[in-house]
Amino acid sequence: MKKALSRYAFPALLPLVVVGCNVVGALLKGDISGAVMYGSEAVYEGGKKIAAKRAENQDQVNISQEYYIGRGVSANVFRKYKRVDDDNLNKYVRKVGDNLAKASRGAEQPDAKQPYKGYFFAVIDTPNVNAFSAPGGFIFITRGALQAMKTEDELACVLGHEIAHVTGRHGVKFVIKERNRAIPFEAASEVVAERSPALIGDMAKQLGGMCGDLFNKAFNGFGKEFELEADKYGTIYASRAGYSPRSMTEFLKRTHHGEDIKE
Amino acid sequence: MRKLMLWGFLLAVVGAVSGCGSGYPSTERRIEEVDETIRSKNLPGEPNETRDKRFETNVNTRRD
Repeated sequence: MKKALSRYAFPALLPLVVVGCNVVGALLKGDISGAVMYGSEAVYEGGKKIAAKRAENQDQVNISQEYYIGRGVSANVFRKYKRVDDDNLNKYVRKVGDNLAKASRGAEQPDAKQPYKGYFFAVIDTPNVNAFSAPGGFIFITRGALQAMKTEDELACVLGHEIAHVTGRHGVKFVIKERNRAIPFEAASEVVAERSPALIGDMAKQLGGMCGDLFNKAFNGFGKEFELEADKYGTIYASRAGYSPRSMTEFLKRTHHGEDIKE
Repeated sequence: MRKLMLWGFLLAVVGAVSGCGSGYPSTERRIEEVDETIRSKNLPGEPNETRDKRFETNVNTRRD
């Protein structure tokens, strides 16, 4: 609780306190118009900075940068899990995945972009039932998920879902969304930095620089909207590659009461 | 009254935290949406025995 207060409440309140002190200072000097001006100016500048930073973030990550972000996330995956030591199995998953990747080209997914250096598929050695992707075309499926599947069509649907996360740039969009959420803190801290001692400004900036942890997000889902979009286009890609789209629902139904499947 | 407000606040916090933590829609919702996509787009594709055998060879025979 103490930690949460210092993490969120402090950066939120700090600009108010500093701006408030200046306003009160002006009022004590009897300078009412100065106080009003100081307060409204700070609010206006804060708003301007938020809008500018949000616009800047939209174009902040291009597909080559996305690839390097994905490489970083993958390094974290391999720090935690080993790749299954079975070349034939990895090759088989890659072959099915490549078919799905081809089928994803020219599909109607909004804002779709193919990854900078193609796709990378790996089976990771854990009994947990999971599949996940990182920006830039890095796709992982667990040994547990493969064992829970009955057909190649089910595998194709799950890989299609992950490919749809990549083509839809869901990882990067999620990061941008998280950064936009943090912007009011950053913008406020910049206003404070301009109007108060440098030390307080630096502290507020550090506290304000919050960003979502993409590594954890890859495991736990990119949010309901992106998950449903990945289901939709993953099913479409599977069908375009000649697989049965019904396999998506069959797999979901079967794993629903047993394990909590997270593709 | 203060107690009631405190409980209300705690419930709101728990609700917000649990809502933020779940990155997935419910399985029922996912199945409904996929079914709707298949129906509305009239998506083709049937199961195939050759593929099933290939899956069996590459995955099932490697089960622990």
